[in-house]
Amino acid sequence: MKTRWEQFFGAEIVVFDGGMGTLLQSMGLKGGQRPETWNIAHPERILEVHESYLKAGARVVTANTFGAAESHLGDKAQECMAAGVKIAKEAAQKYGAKAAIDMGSLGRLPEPYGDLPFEEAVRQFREAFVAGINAGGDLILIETMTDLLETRACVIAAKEALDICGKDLPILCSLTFDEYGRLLSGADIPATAAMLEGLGVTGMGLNCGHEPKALLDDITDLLECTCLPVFMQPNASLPIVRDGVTTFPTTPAEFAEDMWNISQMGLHGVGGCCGTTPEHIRLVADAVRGMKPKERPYPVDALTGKTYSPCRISGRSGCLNLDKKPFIIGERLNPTGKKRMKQALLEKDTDYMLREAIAQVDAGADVLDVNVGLPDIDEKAMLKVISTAVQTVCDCPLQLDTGDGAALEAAIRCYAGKPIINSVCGKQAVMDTVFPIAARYGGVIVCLCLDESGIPDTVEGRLDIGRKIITEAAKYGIPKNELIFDALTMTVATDPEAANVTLGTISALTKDLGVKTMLGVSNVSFGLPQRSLLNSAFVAMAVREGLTAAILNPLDNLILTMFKSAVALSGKDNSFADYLSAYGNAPALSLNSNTAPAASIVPGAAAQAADDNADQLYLAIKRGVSGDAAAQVKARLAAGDEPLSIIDNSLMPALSHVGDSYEKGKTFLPQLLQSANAAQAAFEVIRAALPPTAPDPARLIVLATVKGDVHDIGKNIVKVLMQNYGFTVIDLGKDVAPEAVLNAVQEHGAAMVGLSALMTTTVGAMKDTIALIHEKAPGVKVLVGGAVLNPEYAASIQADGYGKDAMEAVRICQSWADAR
Amino acid sequence: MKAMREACYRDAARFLGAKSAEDRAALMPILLKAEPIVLSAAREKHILTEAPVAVQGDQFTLDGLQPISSPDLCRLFQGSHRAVAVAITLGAEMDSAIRRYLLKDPGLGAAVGALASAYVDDLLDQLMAQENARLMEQGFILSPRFSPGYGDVPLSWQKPFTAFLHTEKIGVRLTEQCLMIPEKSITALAAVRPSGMEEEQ
Repeated sequence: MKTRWEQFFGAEIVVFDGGMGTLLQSMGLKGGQRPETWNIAHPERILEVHESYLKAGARVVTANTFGAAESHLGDKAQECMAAGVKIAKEAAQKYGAKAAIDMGSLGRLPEPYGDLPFEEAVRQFREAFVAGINAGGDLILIETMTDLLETRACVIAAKEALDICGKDLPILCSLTFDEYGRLLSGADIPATAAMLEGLGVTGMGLNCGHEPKALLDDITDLLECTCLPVFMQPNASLPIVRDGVTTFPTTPAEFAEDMWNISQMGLHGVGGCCGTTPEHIRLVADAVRGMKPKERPYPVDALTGKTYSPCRISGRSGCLNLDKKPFIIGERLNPTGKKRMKQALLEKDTDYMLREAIAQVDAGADVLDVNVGLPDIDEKAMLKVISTAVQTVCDCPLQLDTGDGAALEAAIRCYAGKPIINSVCGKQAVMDTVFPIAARYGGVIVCLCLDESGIPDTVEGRLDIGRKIITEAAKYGIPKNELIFDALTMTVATDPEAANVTLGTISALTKDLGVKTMLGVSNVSFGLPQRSLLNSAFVAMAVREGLTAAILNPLDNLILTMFKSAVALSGKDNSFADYLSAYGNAPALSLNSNTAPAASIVPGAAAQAADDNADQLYLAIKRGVSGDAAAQVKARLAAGDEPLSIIDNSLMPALSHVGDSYEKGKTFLPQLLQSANAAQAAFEVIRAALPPTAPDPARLIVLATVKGDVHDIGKNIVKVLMQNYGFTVIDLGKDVAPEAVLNAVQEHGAAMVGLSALMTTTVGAMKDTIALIHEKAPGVKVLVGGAVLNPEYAASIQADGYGKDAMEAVRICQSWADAR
Repeated sequence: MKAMREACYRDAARFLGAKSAEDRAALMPILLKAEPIVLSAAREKHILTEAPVAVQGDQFTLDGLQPISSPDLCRLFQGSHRAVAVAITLGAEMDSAIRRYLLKDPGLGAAVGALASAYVDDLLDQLMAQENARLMEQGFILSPRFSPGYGDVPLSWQKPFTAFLHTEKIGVRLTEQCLMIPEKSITALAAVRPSGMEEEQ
C-alpha cells in the first residue's frame, strides 16, 4: 500500500530548497525587517530566490511565509501569506515542482507556560493557513518548531484550515531539538514523534540548529521511533556572528557529502535551512538523484493495512513505550470514593490535586489517571483545567478519564503530548463518539470489554466484544496496537469466580487477540477487609497472565512492591533495572507507610526533639516536619482530643511563634514555609475529622497575579501562609483580568482581595483592578504586594493595604477579618 | 554535575532575607538540599554576540535597530563603538521544578527559586568574565552589564533586543508585557571599551 507521502511526492527521495533569510539579507533585507513583507514590496526578489533553488534541482520550494501570522505582521499577515504562496506557486509550476505553505513559531508561548491562550494560537495559525491554501499552496510545511504545545496548536490549525477549504494536502512538520536532544520546552524526540503521529501528520523532520553531522544522533532517534517518512533540512553549521556579519562555515561540498551519507539511513526528503544556498542544494540534488528511500521494516496492521510504530504515549517531556514492560497508572486523581478529592474539585482547589499528582509520580506512577466526573461539576471545563495544570508539574503522560465526549475533546486538544483515552467500550454510541476524537487528536484508547448487554460473565463473551471494538477502530484507521483492553475487575465479595474470569480474560486478550491489557486493580477487593492484601496478590497474578498496565494507588507500598516484584519475576524488567532502582538501596521495607519523615532544616532540631515534655505537635510545626505534624494530630485525635482544641492550643501558637520569629529576622522564608507546610499537613488531618462547614466570609480572600504578569511565586507563598492562618483562599492564578477578579469576589462573597505584581509594566493593571473592585464591590479590602511596590505607591493606586512580605500580608488580613 | 560557586549561596541567602554570615549559615542546609535540584533541572543555554553601536546625544543605536532615547545607555557606551549582547537561560524545566517544589515542599521550593536566580546570574557573570578575558587580549575591556528595564531603558525594549539576539533559538520568548519565559533568564549588554579609557574613567 502506498503511503500518503508516496502518493504525493512519488517514490524517490524529495529535494527541498535551502535557506531564504540569508539570501534575502544579501539582497538588502535589513535587520529587524520582516522577510514576509518583501512578498509585497519586492516579489521579484523572492521569485528569484525560488527560481535559483528550482534550477539547482529542488522539487519543493518553501514560500516566504515563515512568519506570516498575525502575531508578527498584524493585519498584513494574510496578505503577505497569500502573496508569498502565489510567488512560490508561480515559480514551482514552471519546473513541475511543489509550493509549500511555510509556517514557523508565533513568537509567543501558549498557556500554561506562556501567556498566549491555546485557542488563540490555533486561530492565528488557522487563519494564516486558510490564506495560504486559498492562494494555491500544494502542501503545508510547519518548521523550526521548538515547543510541543505550539507545535500541536499549529498542526491542529492546519487540519482545521484544510477542512474549511475542503482540501486534502499533506502536512509536514519539522522540529528543532537542542544539544540535549530535546525541544526547548523539554520534550524528547520519541515524545514529540508520538504526538505528531497521533495528530496524523504526513511526515516529520528535523531542521535548522546545526550542520548535518551534528544532527546524526537526533535523526537516528527519529528514524527509529517513527514509521512515518522522515526528512531533514539542516543548517550549513551554527551561525557565527561577529560585528553584525553572519557566516556559516560548512561548504556546499561538505554539506552534500554528509546529506548523502545520512540519506542512506532512510530519509524521504533532504534540503537545507539557515546558511544553505542554491549551490548547497545543487550538490545535494546531484547526490540523491534517482535514489529511493531505504526501506525501514515496520509491522503492518492487518485490518487497516498501515504500518505502525512502537506504541508510545507522552506527556510534556516524558514518554513511555507501552510495548516494553508493564506500567503503573496512578488512580488517585479521581473523586470516586474520595471525600477530600471531591471537596477539592468542588472548591476548585487545584493545588490539592497537583500535590496528589506529584506524590503519585514520586512514589512510582508512570502515568496519571485524571478523572473529574462529579454531578455538580462542569466536566468539560474542569478536565481541561486539571489535566493542563497537572502537566505543568508532572512530565509523565496522562490518562484522560471521562465518559463525556465534549470533555474529552476539550482536554485532548490542548494536551501536550499523546495521552491515554479512558475509555471506549463495545456500545456503538460510545465508539461513534470516542473513535473520531482519537483519530483526530491521537491517543492510546482504553477499551472496556462490555457493551449494550452489560459485562459478559465469560472470557469468550468479553473477547467477542474485544473483536468488535478492534474492527470498529480499524474503520477510523486506528490499528489494534493503539488499543489497550480493560479486562474489567469485579469484586470477589459477591462472585468468588470474578477474579478468575478477569485473569482468564487478560490471558486470552494477550494470547488470542494479541492486544495490550489493563486492570483497575482495587475493585477486586471491594467489600472485604485488608484490601491491600487482596489487591497486591491480584496484581501479581495479573502480571503473570500478561497484564500491560495496572491502575492502582502507588502510595500503597504493599501493592506497589508486589507489582514491581511481579514484573521483575516475569522477566520483563530488563536486568531487574526497575526493581534494583526502587529497592536496591532501600532500608528494611515497611509495607505500612510510604512517608519518610522529612528532615528538619532548623539547626539544633535534634536537641529540641529530645525535649519529651514539649508539645510534640508544636515542635513538629516549629521544625517544619510535615510527616511528624500529621502523625501527632492523628495520635491526639485517637486519644480523644477535640480538633478545635488542637488548633487553638498547638497549631496556632506554633504558627504564631514561627511568624514572629520570621518578622524579627530570626528565621527565613524557607523555614517559614516549611512550618506552614507542616501546619497544612496537620490541618488536612483535622479537616478530615470535622464535618464540612461553609467558609467564614470574613476570612475569604481572592488572590491573583494581575493581568499581564506571569510571575506567581510570591502570590503562591502568600497563599500557603493564608491557608495556614485559617483563611479560605480563592486562587485565580496569574495573568488575571480585573473583571475576573471582580467576578470571583461577587461569586464567593469574598471580603478581601490580594493582588501581586512583579514588574513596573503590570502595576497599571493592578490600579485598574483596584478601581474596579472599589467601584463595583464597595467594602471589599484590597491588599497589594510585589517587588515593584512600596507603601507610598500602594497608597497612590488606592490599595487598602500593602504587605512587604507574606507574613505581613497575613497580619494585615487578620486585622481586617477581626474588625468585621 | 557541576558544583555551584560560593557566590550562588551568598546571593540566594540574600534573596531569602539573610543579612549576616550567621543568617547565611542558618540557610545553608536548605540551600544545599536545593542545589542538586537546581543543577539537575537547569539546562543552561546562551547566545552571545558582538555588535556595533552608535551614540548621538542621548540617542543610542544598536546595530541597525531603531534608536532609543537613553542617557543611561549613552553614558555606559561613551567612547565605545561595540557592544557585547547576551541572553542566558536555565530553560523551561527549571520553572517547572520550582513550581513542583513550591507545591510539595514550599520551603524547599523557595530555596530552589532563590538558588536558581543566583545561579543564572553567576553563570552570566562567568560568561562575561570569559568574554572580558578574550577582549583584554585585544586591548579592550568590558563595562558592567546592563539589562532592559534598568535605569531609563524601558522594559519594552526587550522586544527589539530579544528579536536582535534571536533568543527564541535558546527558548526564551516574551509575554505581551515583555516578561521573559522561562523566568530564570537574563538579557544584557555591555560596552566594549579600550583598556586605557577604562583607567581614565
